[in-house]
Order: sequence, then C-alpha cells, then structure tokens
Amino acid sequence: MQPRFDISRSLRHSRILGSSLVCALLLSLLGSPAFAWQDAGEASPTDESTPQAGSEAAEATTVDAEDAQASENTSDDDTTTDETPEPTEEVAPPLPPVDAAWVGNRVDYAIEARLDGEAKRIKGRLVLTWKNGMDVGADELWFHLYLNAFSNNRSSHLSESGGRLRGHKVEDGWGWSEVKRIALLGETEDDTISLLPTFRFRQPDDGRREDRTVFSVDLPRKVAPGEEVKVEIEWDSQIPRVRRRTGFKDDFLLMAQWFPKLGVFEGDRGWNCHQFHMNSEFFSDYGTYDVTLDLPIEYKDKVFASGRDERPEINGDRIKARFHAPTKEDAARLDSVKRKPVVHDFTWTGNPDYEVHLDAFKWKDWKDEFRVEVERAAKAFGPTEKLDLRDVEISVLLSPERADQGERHARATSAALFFYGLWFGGYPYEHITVIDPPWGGRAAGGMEYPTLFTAGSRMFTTPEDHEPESVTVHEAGHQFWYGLVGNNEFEASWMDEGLNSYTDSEVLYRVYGPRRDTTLYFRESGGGSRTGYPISGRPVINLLPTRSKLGKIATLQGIEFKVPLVDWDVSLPGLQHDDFLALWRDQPWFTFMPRKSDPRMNDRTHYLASPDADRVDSYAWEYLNRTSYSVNSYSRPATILRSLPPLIGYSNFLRGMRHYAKTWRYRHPYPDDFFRTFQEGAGVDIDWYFRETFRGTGRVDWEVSVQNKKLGATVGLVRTEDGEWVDATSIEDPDESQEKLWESRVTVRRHGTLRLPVKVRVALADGTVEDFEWSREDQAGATYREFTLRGAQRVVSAVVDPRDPDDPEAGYWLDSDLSNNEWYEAHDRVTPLRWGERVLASFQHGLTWFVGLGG
Amino acid sequence: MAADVEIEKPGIWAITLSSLKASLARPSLWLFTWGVILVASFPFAFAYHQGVTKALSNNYAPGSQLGWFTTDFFRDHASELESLSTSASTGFGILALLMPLVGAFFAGGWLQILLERTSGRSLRRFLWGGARTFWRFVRVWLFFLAFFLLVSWLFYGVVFDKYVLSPFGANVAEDLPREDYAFWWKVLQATLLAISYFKLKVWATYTRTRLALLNTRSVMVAGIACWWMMLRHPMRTFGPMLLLLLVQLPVVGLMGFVSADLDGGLDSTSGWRVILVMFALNQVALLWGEILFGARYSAAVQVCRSLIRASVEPDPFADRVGGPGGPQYPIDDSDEYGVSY
Repeated sequence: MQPRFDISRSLRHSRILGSSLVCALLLSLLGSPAFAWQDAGEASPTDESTPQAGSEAAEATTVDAEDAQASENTSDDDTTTDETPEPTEEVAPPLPPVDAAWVGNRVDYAIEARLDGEAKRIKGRLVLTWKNGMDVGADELWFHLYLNAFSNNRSSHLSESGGRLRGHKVEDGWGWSEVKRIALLGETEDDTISLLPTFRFRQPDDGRREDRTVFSVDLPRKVAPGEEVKVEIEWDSQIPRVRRRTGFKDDFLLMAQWFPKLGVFEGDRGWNCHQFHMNSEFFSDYGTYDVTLDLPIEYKDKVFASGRDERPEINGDRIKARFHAPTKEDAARLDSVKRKPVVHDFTWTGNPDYEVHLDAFKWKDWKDEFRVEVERAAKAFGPTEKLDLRDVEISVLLSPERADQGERHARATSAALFFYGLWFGGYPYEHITVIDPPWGGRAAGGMEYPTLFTAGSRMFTTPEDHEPESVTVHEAGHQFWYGLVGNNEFEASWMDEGLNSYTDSEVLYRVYGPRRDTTLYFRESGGGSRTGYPISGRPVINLLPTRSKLGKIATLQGIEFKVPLVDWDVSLPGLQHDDFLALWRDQPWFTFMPRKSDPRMNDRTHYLASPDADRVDSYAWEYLNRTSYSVNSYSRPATILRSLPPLIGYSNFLRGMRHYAKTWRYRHPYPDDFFRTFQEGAGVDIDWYFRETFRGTGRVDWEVSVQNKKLGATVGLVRTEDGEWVDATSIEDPDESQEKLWESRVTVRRHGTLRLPVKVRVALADGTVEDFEWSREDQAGATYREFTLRGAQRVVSAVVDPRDPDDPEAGYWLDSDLSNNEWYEAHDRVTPLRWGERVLASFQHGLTWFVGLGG
Repeated sequence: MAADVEIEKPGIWAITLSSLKASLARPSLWLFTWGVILVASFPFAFAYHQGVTKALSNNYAPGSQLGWFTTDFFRDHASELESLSTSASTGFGILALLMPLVGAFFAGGWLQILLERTSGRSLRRFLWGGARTFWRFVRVWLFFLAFFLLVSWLFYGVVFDKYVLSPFGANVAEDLPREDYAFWWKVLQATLLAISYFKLKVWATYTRTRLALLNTRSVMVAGIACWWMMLRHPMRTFGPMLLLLLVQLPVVGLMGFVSADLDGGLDSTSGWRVILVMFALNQVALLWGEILFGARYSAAVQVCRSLIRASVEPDPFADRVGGPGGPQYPIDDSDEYGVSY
C-alpha cells in the first residue's frame, strides 16, 4: 500500500488540471488568450494540428479525458458547495503490537580485574552465565579476544589497515591478551571441567593464522536449548597505546573489548564470532554486567563505565570500584516496550585529569523547545503511543583545557536522547557518560558502548562548526542503533551506522542548522589528534596545496635528503605552512568566503563519492575498500532512508522506523527483519525500493529543461465552419491572435534505473504555480516526459522534484545531480562576479607574497 | 677629509615618515607594480567568472548561491570546479616561479629611482634600474630562499623536536600531555619562523640596497656586510622596517575587516555594488602594500647612506675638460679637439 499515491492524491492533481482547464475555457469565452497544459507523453510529438479559425485559444487546450472529467467534477463541487469543509484531523491508527517476551540468548557477566598502573597490565577473572536461546544445542563456545588485534602488524586488523590506525603508523605500544584458565563450572568444585585443552584460536573470516582475535573451546556436552551454563575465565593482558578505540595515553585509559567476550550463538548458523577487522565493529549478546575494578588510588572518582558505580572501597593506595550495567534499578523496571533493560557490552575509562561536568536531559525542556516535532510525532504515532521520555543524568568527562565544552557535549547528548527517543522509543537507562578523549588519545574517540561513548573535540570550536556536536550526537545516537537494537555490526554495519547517520544529520540540522566551514591555522596534528585556530570560511581556490607539479616546484615541496653524519632524515617544509606566514600570504579577510553545509546534504555528497562500488547490504569487511565501506555503511543508507518520506510520507516513515526499533529492542535483527518490520509499521509495500537501493546499485538523476517560444500569427489558409478555406489574417481576431500566445515545452528526463514518482513545479510569468507528477508506473519504459503549455503566460521557472529543507517530504536526496533539477528564465549575474572578485583577490595576494620573496 | 665629515643621522621615525613620503610621491611606480600583479591575476578571475556563469546557467534561482555556496553546488559541479582549480593552480605555479623575478626587478627599479633622484619619478628609469641590477638581485633571492628553508627546517624539523620538545618528555607534539601545550608549541614555532622570515626579508632588502648603492657585484660580500651592519645597528636597521610593517597592518586589518563583514552579509538580495566595494577595499589594501614596498627601499637607502661609507672611486672627470654639467671632451693623443673661431 502506498498511501501517498492514493486516489485522493490523484484527484488533487486532477483538480489542479481541471481548474486550469476551466480557467482556460472561461478566459477564451471572455475573449482572452488563456493557458492550459498539454501532456504530450514520452515520445509522442507535440500536437501540431491545423488551428481552426475562431477558436484557436480553446483548441490549443488538450487534456486527456480523465482529467477533463475530473475537472468537471471539481467544478461542480466548487460551485455547489458554499461552505469550506472543515479539515478533518486524521487520527493515526495504533502501531502494530510488539511482543514483550525475551528472544534469543542471554549472557550475564561477573568480572573482577586489577590494573597495574605503571605497567598498564590488567589481570582479571570473570564468570559468565550463558543461556542458550536457540532451538538447537551448542557443543562449543566461541569468544572474542580483541586486544590481540594490537599485538603485531600481522593481525587481520592491522594487516587490513596497512599498519596505520587513524593516521598513525603503529610501531610501538603493542597490546595483547592471554587466557590463563577457562573452565566450565559445575555445582561443586569437583564438577568443574577445564576447557583449556580444547582452546583454539580461530580465523573464521580470512584464515589468517597470525590473527589471534577469536578463540573457541569445546564443551564436554551439548548445551541444550534453554539450558544455562557457567564458565570461568582468568586472563592477563597488556593494554596497548591507544591507536584505535582502546588503550592508554599517559594515565588516560579507555578499556573497550578488554575481556574475553562471548560470541553470539545463532542456532543452525553456528557461532557468530568474527575476527576483529579494520572495517568491522562488534556483536554480542544481551545481559547484565557486575564488574569490580581494582585500581590505583589516582583514579578515585575519575573512573566511569557502562552502568553506574557503587561507593568505591578504598584500601591504602588502591580503590575498588564496582559497576552494574544496567544499574540495579534500571534492570528491575520495565521500559517503554515492557521489557527489562539489558546491555550487550561493558567498557570503562579512567583518567586522573578528568574534569567532570554533570548535567541532565530533561524531557520537559526539550518538549517545549521542539513542540512542532513533538506534535508531528504525535500525529504520526496516534494517541495510543506514549511519547514522554524519562530524564537522564549526563556525565561529561573532559580534559582541563576543554572543560568549557562540557555543556555543549551535554546539549548534543540531550538532543540525541530527545529526538531518537521521540522517534524510536525512549532511552531506558538512568545515566549516560560522554568521554572527550584527551590530547593524544583522540584515537579512542568516536565510538559507542552501552550507556557510555567517546566523542572527540579540540579547542577553539563553536557550535556552528558542529564540533564536537556532530560526533557527540552520532555516538549518543548509537545508544539506540547498536545499543538498544543490537544488529550484527560485522555482517550488516549499515543497520546501525546507516540508520544512525540518517538520524544524527536530522538532529543536527534541527538543533544546530547548517555547519559552518572553517580553515585551521597554527594546526598541530599528531596521529589522531588535531588542533588549530579556526578562521571562518574557506578559500575559494586552493592555490598552494600544489595540485600541479609547477605549484610544487614553486613552493619548494618534497625536498628530502639524509644528513650522513648525524643520520637525520631532512624533509624541508618548503613554503607551505599553516602559520602566521600563511595567514599573511592568504589574507583570508579578502580571499575566503563562507561555506555552510547541511549535514543531510553532506550524507548525499559522501554517498556520491562511491555510489555504486558495492551494494549496501554486504559484510563490513568485504566492501571494495575503506571508502566503499564508509559510503555503504554510513552515508548511502542514510540517503536512501531520507528519500523514503517523499515516497511514502513522513508519518508513515516515522511509524515504520518506530515499529522496527520497538520490535527489535534488545534483539539482533538482520536486513530482512528491518525491511519487513519497517513495512509492517509504515503500512506500505515497498519491497522494490529496498531491493533496488539496499541490494542493488540503482541511481537516479532528474533533469528539467524548458523551451519558450511565441507562437506568432497564423499564416496561410484556415478552414471555416462552412468548409471554406480562407486567408487566416482576414478572419483572425487581433485580440485572440496567437501572436500573443506562448508555447512552453517543459521536458523532464530521468537518468538511471531507479524509478521514483516525481513532482514537477512550474511557475508562469504572472506568478501562477502548477504542480504535476510523473508517476513510477508512467516511467516504466520511459526516460522522459514532455509537457507543453500554451497560453498568454510563458514559463519562468520549472523545478523537478522541488526541495524544501524543512519539509521531509519534499525532494529525494538520492538524486545524483541536483544542478539540473531547476530551470529559471533569469540568469544570476552577481554570483559569478563574486567568484571572480574572490579569485582575483586570492591571486593578487598570493602573487604579491611571491613578489615579496624576490624583492 | 671625508672621514671627518659628520653626517647627520636621521632617527628611525624620521626615516619611516620620509620613506613613506618618498614612496607616496611616486604614484606612477606603485600603480605600475600593482597593475602588473592585477593584470597577471585577471585572466584567472575572468576564467572563474565564466566558469561559474556556465555552472549556474539557468539552473539556479538568481541569488541562491550568492550568500554562501551550498554543499550540493560544490558536489554537483565538482568536475568543472576541479578542472578550473587545476588550471588555476598550474597557472599560479608558473606565476609563482616568475614573481620572485618580478620582485627582483621591482626592487631594482625602486632603488634606481631612489638613489638617483631626491624627487620626481620616471617609469623609464624604473625599468632601466630593474634591468641593471636584475641578475644580482636574482642571486639575492636564491640566498634568501636557502636561508628561509634552513630556518624552516630548524623550527619545523627534527632539530627543534630533539632539543626543544624532548626536555618536556615528548618526541612529537602528540606526546605532550595537553592540547593547549601542543597549540602553544605550534604558535611558538610559527612565531619563531615569522620573526626569522622578517629578519631575512630585512636582510635581503639591505643587501639589495647595498649592491645598488655601491654598484658592486658580489652578493656574498654584500650579504655578509649587511648581516654585520644589522648586528651592529639593530635598532637603526630593523626599526624603520618594523614601523613600516606596523603602518601596513592597520590598513590591511581595517580593509579586511570591512571586506569580510560585507562578504558575511551577502545574501540573495545583494547586488553587484557590494561586490564592487569589496573589490575596491581589496585594491586599497594591495595598493597600500605596494606603496610600502617602495617605502621599505626608501628607508633602506636612507639607513644605508647613513651607515655605509661611500666607495672611493676614481674621479670620472679627472681626465676630461669641462666640469660637471657641461659638455665633456676626452683628451688624449688621438683627440682632434680644437677651438675654432
């Protein structure tokens, strides 16, 4: 069912046509030339029939019979109804019910770990209780041991990344993890069975034997469906220097994937436990965590984790911090879908230098600020859906030099909790922790963990830069897409990254508007860290980044040699700097111009960087390259989703997303689950769309062009009603002469295979605006459609797929070239002048600087 | 005796003011130097104007791209803009290679005028002067580049990291404990480089002036002598140059501020007049820069004249009949000069 294309909509369209026709007829009867549409179809020639004397204006009007009929009906309605009908407020039907029962496996961890602060070593012991939720038995257990990804350059992770992680070549600070003991616990000590003899490293994805990130043990007997087992593991690990997601920098610790973590048993599919790849993230079962950390006293009050801690126990120069994730209170209550909250991972962080900013998300404040959005959601979901959200405490952990950004992180986090909660169901936990990694630890940034996430920022930023806001919103959003809906991040990374990218851009646009671009001067960059003073705007033309060989020579780039005695590799910086000299050379006050970007449009731009290298629905580590991974996991699915509201309506879209989020909360959906559940919630049948966009590489590009011409006076002979042929000029009424009429041809073309119903908006010289649709059905076998308009007014603008940044239903974001979607009679003369002025200034200042070198 | 003559040395304020006056009084020269750069830049601006006109064509509502350029504009015209940028960058590369030579020529021109005249101007003499010292000044430029690369490497290379960063327990800036340390570290590097650049520019200016003043050929000797002069008379040599820089900054700052403000306020309703004003502001700043280019050489001439002893050269009129100002007649064995009645 496609409600946006129901009969009422067709009638609305016909009503416009009909009104035009009636106007044309009336005007022609009154003796005035009028206009009307002529739908010429895709390939049929324009009607050039011989004009009949005395009725040219009326004859010029040809519409198909159905439209004419509709026009008559409309006309009757309009003339016989005096009262304007009251708009009836449609009440949305309730969303389909969601089953509250537990589905799948469950795993509960009790962990005790001790940190050697000097050596950065962790020794730990855990007991996990695993319940087989599948309908077949399991005869082995598979675990992740992901710190081993950082043990050497032969691991799959480092091998796939070419030995570089987040811009930094990994040459030291290696980390590893070693299982010392693993046993199946019995009722008594005697029943305990060591599983260590069957310990094996596994490489299920690439067979790379050097990779040690997954291991398995055999069970002495099958764990039957519904049965529960307890396993004890002792392990020892060296924490790596943080180069990606996990590790240390000085005393800062971000401990993710730090303990042996059970994979996901999927019944007939066996264990889903992938190696740690460059382009993959995480997947594990839901449950609870009870974790006790034994740490040096410096970490007192400066250690945070998934869940909340109890009062720490101090023992000399050590503290013991105990965390429950979810908290005991959260775990005991039912959330908005009547399920008890659980989590699927546990991460902790500590840094004696943390400045802690405490804040809170308050539903009432946000509800008042974004009342329109609440009303929109209420309209979409109907009265049965409870929209109000719980208040959530926010802890922001910051470096002292960025302590002033605490409030901004908190607002961005609140924005995510509000909008994601409003659209997809509320965040069920009482607390959330935001980590802004310190200088040199940025490689830990931008990653999501249950009830805790790492953002990333630098000094001198403002909210207009969306930094740190964009990362904070994105990672906070992962609490929903990844945290609450636990898709397999290996096999369908787009299901969390894509859905999250869609949502975070929507949130950013609503809360912060378009992003302002800046240029950094005095930039210091080390590994994943980056800082610098931002100057608003960007150069219109990058003269010195040396696109050409000559430019490189002129700026003395690439002069490198070795000094033999001291064995120094000398690489001369040349004339390319980003400091005071560059500021003086660039004169940004004269040469820059503001650039702003709508974050939603950024998704589209990124998608078009590699629009068809792979299909979206692929395994994360099997995409063609890193670009294809990021496009197909993030921006392309976001763009595909954002193009759904124009197709099915925004309310239906929201209903589909909410139903999916509710149904799959604390569960592991796969792509087909998303497609099915979404359509169920939205009440639409758009399998074709999902097939062509997520499992195909269909693209679309609309194009519109217009030709206006004056018809001119009729020349030659015309046949009168008496059957006589007479000279046209002898009988033509000057007032009705076609000399005053215009013929405008509006041609709409579709490039690409993706057929989507599209609207065409045409404006006439007198200000009249007309909308038309070219339906998906009509596009079958046709790549263009031509509309011809004859009348007293010429077309001054035509827009195919008209956009409105504040209307989610206006404009497909998938269009691969928006520059040909609009046609205007008037030319823009001022903008090229502006470009010319800025380029002139750039060249003059650049050349003046070079003149100064020689004189 | 010449050594006993006490030359009155003007102060640095007086030098600065008189050098500004000297340069301002010669509009044909700074208009010429400004015009050369304008003419060199114009084809690129025109190419962009045409390129953007074509890109906009009939496809954008008038003014919709005026306030700020949208992401979709850059994305959808990426190939045209890339092509324009590559051409412009290549063109700029060629010009960037040529411009230091033009700078050497301009310097020679200004020095010719400033050394031979206390007032008045002549574009022809300016061009002649540029040609006269051109190759010597090119050699100064090469020395300048070599020194600049050296100091760049000193402040941005392994030496600085090894001897300045390592005492803080860091091998690279990323190892520093805080971001503000890293930022100020970068500012320190940038400041040291900027000061070094300024010193090198001053040195090169005095070296050129000395070469022209004494009409000598050895850049090496002149360069060393100027380093020595700057070392002995730091206030006198750097003072006027620093003051002239300080005179340039507020004008550039003011024009830049107004221009940036106008630019930031552009929207779809703005007309071409605003663009014209932005153009004018930019040109004022550039013209002021050209005036100060001449003023720097005027200051350098005054400083050099007060500090450098004039070279002792044979009297060119010693073996001639007639004093300065009148006709000169060589007298030797072959001379058939005679007076007829």
